[in-house]
Amino acid sequence: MSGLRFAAWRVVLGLITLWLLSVIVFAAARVLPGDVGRAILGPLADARAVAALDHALGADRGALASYIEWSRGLLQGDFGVSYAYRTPVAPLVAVALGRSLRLACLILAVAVPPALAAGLTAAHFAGGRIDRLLTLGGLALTVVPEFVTAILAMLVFGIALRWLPISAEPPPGAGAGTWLRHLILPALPGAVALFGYLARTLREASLAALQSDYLRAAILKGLAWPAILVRHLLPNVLPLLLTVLAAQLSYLLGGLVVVETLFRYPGIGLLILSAGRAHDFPLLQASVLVLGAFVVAASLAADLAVRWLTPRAA
Amino acid sequence: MLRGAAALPLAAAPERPLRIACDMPVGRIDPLTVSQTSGLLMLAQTGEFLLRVAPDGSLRPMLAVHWESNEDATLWRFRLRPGVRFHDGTVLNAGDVVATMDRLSDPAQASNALSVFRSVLSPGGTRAAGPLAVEFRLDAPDGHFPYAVSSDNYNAIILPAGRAGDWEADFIGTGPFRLAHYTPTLGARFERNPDWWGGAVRPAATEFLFFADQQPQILALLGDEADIVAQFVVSGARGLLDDPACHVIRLPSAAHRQIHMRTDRPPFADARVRRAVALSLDRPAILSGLLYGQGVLGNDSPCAPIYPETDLAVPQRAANPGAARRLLAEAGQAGGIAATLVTERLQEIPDLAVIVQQACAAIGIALEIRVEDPALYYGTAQRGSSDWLDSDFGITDYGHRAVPDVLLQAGFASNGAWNAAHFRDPRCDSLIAAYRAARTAAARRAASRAIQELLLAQTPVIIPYFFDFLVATRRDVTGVSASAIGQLFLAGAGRSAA
Amino acid sequence: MRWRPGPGLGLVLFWLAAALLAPAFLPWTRLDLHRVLAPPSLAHWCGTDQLGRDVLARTLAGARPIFETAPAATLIALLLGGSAGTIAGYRGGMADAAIGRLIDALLALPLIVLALFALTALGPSQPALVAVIGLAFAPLIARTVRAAVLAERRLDYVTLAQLRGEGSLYILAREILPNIAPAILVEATVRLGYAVFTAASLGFLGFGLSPPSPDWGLTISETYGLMAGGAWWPATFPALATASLVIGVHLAAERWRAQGRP
Repeated sequence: MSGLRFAAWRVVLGLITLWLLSVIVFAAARVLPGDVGRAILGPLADARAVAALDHALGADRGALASYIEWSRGLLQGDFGVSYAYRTPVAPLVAVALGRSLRLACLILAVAVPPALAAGLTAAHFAGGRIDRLLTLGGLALTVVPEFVTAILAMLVFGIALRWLPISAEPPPGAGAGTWLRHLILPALPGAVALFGYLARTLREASLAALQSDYLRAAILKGLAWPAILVRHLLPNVLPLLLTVLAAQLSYLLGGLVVVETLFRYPGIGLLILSAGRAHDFPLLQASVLVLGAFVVAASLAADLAVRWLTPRAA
Repeated sequence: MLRGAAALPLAAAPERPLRIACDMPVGRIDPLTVSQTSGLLMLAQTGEFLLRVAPDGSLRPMLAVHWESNEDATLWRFRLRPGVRFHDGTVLNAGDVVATMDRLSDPAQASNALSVFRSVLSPGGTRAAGPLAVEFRLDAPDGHFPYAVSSDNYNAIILPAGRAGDWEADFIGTGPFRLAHYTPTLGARFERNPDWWGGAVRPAATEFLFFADQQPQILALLGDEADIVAQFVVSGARGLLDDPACHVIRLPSAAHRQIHMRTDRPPFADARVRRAVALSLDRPAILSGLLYGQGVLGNDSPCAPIYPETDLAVPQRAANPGAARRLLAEAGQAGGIAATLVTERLQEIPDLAVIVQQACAAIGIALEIRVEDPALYYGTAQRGSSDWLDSDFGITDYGHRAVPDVLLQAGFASNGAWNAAHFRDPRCDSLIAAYRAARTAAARRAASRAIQELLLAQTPVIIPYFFDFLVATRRDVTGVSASAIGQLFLAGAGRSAA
Repeated sequence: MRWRPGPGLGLVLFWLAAALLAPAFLPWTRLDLHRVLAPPSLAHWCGTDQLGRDVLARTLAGARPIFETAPAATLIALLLGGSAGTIAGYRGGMADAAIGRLIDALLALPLIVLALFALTALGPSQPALVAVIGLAFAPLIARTVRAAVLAERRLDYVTLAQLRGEGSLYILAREILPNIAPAILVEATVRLGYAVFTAASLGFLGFGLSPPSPDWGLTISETYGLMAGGAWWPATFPALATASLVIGVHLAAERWRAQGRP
């Protein structure tokens, strides 16, 4: 299959995936207890007011009818109007997604280079003390919940030492430097978790590559370590790195609810959670679907890049 | 020494706004529908009420300066403050009040105030009796009606007659602050209203920072990124109580946790079983261990000690496991009871559930705890599809109210919408009606005593404590005024110079 | 080479013993409101929590819910993901395409949405929690298994077996499975650790087990906030326990891979 045809085929598959995702979310959202009017007005509100609000929002229509109407709107590029905020959904999602993207990029920038270095180092000294330390340390880091690392980071760097602000959102009109300062602490918990995971994965991959006959021969020939690293090891590890990162994107964008909560950074994860809690189906649908589109696109991009990096892979 | 200087807001160069950390309002901020504390906090920044509830529970003039009723408390007359202007310059008149109250009392609108106005005020019941005079004709006598149009009914901010659904665009009101900008999920900024009828406003600007959880609000205060935490619960924030950098404002309140038991079916149909459960709890230990003393003991009725009509001479129920076991034996339940305790994941409630479980275990009642997401616990809030209203044994949170009328009517009257205990007692119904219609303090006090005694004897619910409303500020912040339902009044607030 | 138990197995066995003995710690996990949040001392080596319960006893007892949930969730993920991945990888064609889309869709669904739907609708219970974590992990395992099966299928020994006329099931069970087992095992041990972590995160979001379960995830999510007030012990010890168990499982699996593999 040619590269172009492969890409086109993958785009079609991606669209099918997104359609499936929308059906899953739409069907599953129906099983949530309560309704939007009750969620907005609270448990103690009068039942007549709840009924009036449900009707005014159009939330009292049948499931199939609202799905059809929602799909029709989507095909025309209209994500609909949020039940809870009673404003168009698109800007709400865009703002939250923008925040999440910035945070995810920073996490990647902070976590990937050291993880790559650690993974390769550990593989190089496989079985040694450094390897042990990195492997076990990385493992321990991945299983400590983010809210523990987040609170520790806030207490130490934000409150005891006062080095960094603990609120992720910079004051309006702040420059890039201020923006970065505000986002460093929030990036830390995700970066720590990602570092642990990546370093271990990369160690395994590099180890496998180092043990391949091909590289063994190169090493026996006396090829210098930097040359091995750049010419043989990295090209072998890079495709895996891309695939793993693409698979982690859902977590990096939508899974950092804890971080968004603690650092006052209302991103897409918090938006999805509050939309679900509020029974705000238009908002929930749109935010899950947009996030899904990013994940699918990332996985497509990773696959294409892998194909390009290793032409023999089918 | 510089305290006086700081109180003059014009003296300083562009001063930093007062920063308030608060819960994030989810959804549109609309005076008609707001139900979250975070939303009512926003309403009270720019909006004002006919009357304001003082911290001692008494009513003070706000947009109304005088109010009185007829002999049987079915007709109330309010005289409005002259010369009050909305932020857009229009002058407040009786028509604005009529439009506001008609909308809030209309069952066809999504009004959150409907539970307060139910069988009290209907659309058309509010009439202008002059440019600055308003008359309320009630559906039933209500001696506490002024509270229903006070800051205690947090939806009832007075809006200009022509305005309804788009309040979020400008937060229009008559209050000391005007909206500068509002960013959903992130925060809001308000600026001083130089034309406020109440005189000079101390802060030039206030900035509200929205958080999705309590913990980061406290960290923001400790890290000096906020000056005030609008409200916090003491569990998980014990450190604030004796932090030298902070000051805690304590307001006694009627907010409580209600432990209900279904009175209409076994195993809690027998009042002796319910009394036994109530006797198993060591309330002073709960108050000190769970709330670090930030509250008062409850006596199993919503008649909180802060209400002036509550009769404090009614004996406080104390722990007595021996008597509890005897009661269970008398009820034929000496062999033990097994039940499920259902509740919501909110603040200290799961911890309270564990305490109740252990206390019950000591008298032979085995409870299994199920802690649910609030959405699941309340469900549709209708009988038959709500764990709150259907469970045999549950714990529910109730916020502060300046008067207990709605709590009594909805919670304990036979047809009450919040009557999770399914309590039906004709004598209780008539006592509640008598309480609500009472016009003299003595009559209401007598009704209150009878209700307190009846609820103690029947024990449809256990109310182990009433917890204080807590606001935290940096040590140098002064002049913050709050209400126990969650409003902050910041016209006089500011940071004194160090 | 003679098989020797290592420190990893020791850790796992320690926690397994704690899980089995959990009822014995119950007398020490009684709450006492007169000694809440006491720092570590001789009487309470790891201090007491917000209800005056001994943190050490609760941490030890907390091994039980972990052993009840994490392996079960991993097992569900292995069964669901493993079979889906095997079918997709071995059959190819339409089956692969259909399963592939479902895997992608589930992977694009954030865990919070899955938890929101399942645990809000079903109510919090151990089986529901196990199901959610299992379901969340299944697509990842399916992907790993599919890739492994796909790689093996092209190898000569499979073709030979097919030429011998062996049935698909036989080839899968006797030829392919032994070869991809190490990869699956590695994935499973990783997932086991994440299961504990995920339970904790779900607890933080309000979708966890019900108290008074001494579950580490639930305990950490209940008490992490106390750290801001200086009471670090109720959250720290369960967090350390989680890390030690996961490291133990990892070390044991690694040693098993290195020494015990046939």
